Amino acid sequence: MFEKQRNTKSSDSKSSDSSPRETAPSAAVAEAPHSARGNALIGASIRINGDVSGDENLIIEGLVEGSIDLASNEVTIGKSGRVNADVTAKMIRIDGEVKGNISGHEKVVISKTGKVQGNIIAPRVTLEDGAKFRGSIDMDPSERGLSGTTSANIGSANAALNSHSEVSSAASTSASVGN
Amino acid sequence: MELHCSLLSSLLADVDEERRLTVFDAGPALPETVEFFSQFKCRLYFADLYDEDVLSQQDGDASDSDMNLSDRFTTLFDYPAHTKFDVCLFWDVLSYMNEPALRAFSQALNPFLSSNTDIHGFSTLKASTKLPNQLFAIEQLDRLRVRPREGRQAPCYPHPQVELNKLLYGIGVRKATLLSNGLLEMLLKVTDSPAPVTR
Repeated sequence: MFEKQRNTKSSDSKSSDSSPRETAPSAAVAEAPHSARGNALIGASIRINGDVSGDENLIIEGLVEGSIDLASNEVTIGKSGRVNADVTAKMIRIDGEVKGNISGHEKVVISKTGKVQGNIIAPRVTLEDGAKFRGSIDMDPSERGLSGTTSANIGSANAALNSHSEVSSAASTSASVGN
Repeated sequence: MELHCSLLSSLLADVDEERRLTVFDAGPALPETVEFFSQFKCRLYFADLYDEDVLSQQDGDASDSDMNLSDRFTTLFDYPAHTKFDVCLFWDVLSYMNEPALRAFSQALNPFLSSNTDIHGFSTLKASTKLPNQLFAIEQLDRLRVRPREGRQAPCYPHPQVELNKLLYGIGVRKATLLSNGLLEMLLKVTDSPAPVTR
């Protein structure tokens, strides 16, 4: 269901310095923790109705309805990505469309192709030229660099916002992203 | 393009950095505005009224619609009940609202205003003033970034200061200055006694 998009330009010194696979295949596998080697990808033809959670970075090019909770990781909603869900992550980049509330523990970026309807809570929010946004943005510069301590604040603030949001999500099934 | 606004700086002059600032922007979310307010602990509400149907339909017959203008604005301003705006930015919607729309807009916004609310906006004084089709974003305390607005320009409704004071429910013009581009830059304040509602 999910593909792995390997980052061939990874700065991971272990992987780049490894011997060729032909000579040490077992070492290469052993040194490849799933969360350090690439991003999970929800492809453009994939539709998920449910809760997405896990412990690795995620790129969404398909459709997700429900919720996305990757509090320690990065989430990218690609140009073809459509998300009708609340999204929680460390860093969130939106090149596609999101209807839902967004909690970024460090930063949220809406790119020039991004379109968001909902409420954003993050220490830092960046809109690029051409980004479309409707809703509210809650920022607190004092929380920058304190991502580990902001989760509880974001959670409680988001709960307050959720009660007033025009956007609601109803997840009927659960799916987890990972290996 | 930049637009220097002499009255703008007083808007945020006394902001307590420790206090959360609640800001209403009647226009769209633009990069400069978000970047500017990122230095504050704040919550920004973007209404993007220009692109809402409520403005394009303001000249229509209310009886043709399920909702009148007041209901439409009230629906748009569906903010949490406890919300009180510290700062309101009316860029540049006042010039695109006719009289009934201005009344309905200000009435719907009134529950979210307090005596501490500071408002900055523009108006067009005369029909002969060619209103540029532009968007405004705050870049510095006394400077706005002006961008061309894409698409066809909506009909413009000039409102002299005296007229605005009559039309805006619970809001009055405190200071105003005429800019070189013909726009009237205004600081507005919540008044103790709202203007009587006339329909």
